[in-house]
Amino acid sequence: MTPVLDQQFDVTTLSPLRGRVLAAARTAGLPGSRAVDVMLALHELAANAVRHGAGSGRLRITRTASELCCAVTDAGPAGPDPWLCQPGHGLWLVQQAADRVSVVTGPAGSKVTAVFSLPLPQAGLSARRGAASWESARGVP
Amino acid sequence: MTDVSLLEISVGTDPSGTVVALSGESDMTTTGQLSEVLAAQLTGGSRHLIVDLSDLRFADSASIRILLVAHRALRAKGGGLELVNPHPNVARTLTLLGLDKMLRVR
Repeated sequence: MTPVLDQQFDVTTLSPLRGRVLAAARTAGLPGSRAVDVMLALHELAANAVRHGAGSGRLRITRTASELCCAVTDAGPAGPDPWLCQPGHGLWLVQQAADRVSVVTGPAGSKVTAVFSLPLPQAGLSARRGAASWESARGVP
Repeated sequence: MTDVSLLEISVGTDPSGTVVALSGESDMTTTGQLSEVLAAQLTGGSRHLIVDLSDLRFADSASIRILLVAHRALRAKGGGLELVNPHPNVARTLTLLGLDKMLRVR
């Protein structure tokens, strides 16, 4: 699957990364406030990789018909610390913002995936189409 | 590493007290700068600080925690830290962190 965004990052590129994530989330069809949530959450994951992981990492966003799947990987020896899941900390924010979060840690590093549901344009369109045909049917004598 | 900081901090006073105005973006690369300014206010005897967030477009959990630490230190002296006019992105960070009730926001 072709990613919507595939970007290496380190401490010097966190700010431009935020801009690219926000643009990618909007382009993928998320409404403004949800796109901001994606940006806020992915910044926290990237910052965790920089601070507690390998110092750099890779962010990959792919989309399906219904979801935006955002994975942050780093080659650090340990996964995210459990205390990061407390209120006020980065992973807490990610868990509040995303629809699903998973963390995989292994000898090669860690991968945190945050999934955001996309709005369903098909449902909206068919509902409108249904309403339009009902209107036109009623207009026929 | 870029030499230009993402964050600009100015300290002034208005009738309600000392105002620390943040502008730009505040993240893990600027937490040292932010805590230095707030620590200087604390050691300078401030008990109450107003942090003007009107021009701050982004704040992450690391920088919000700096504000929370300063708030707790000020509260221990009988004062507190008040956040004023947060940008929607920053207000959202506070909500998602679960800190919008712990820090005073207006």
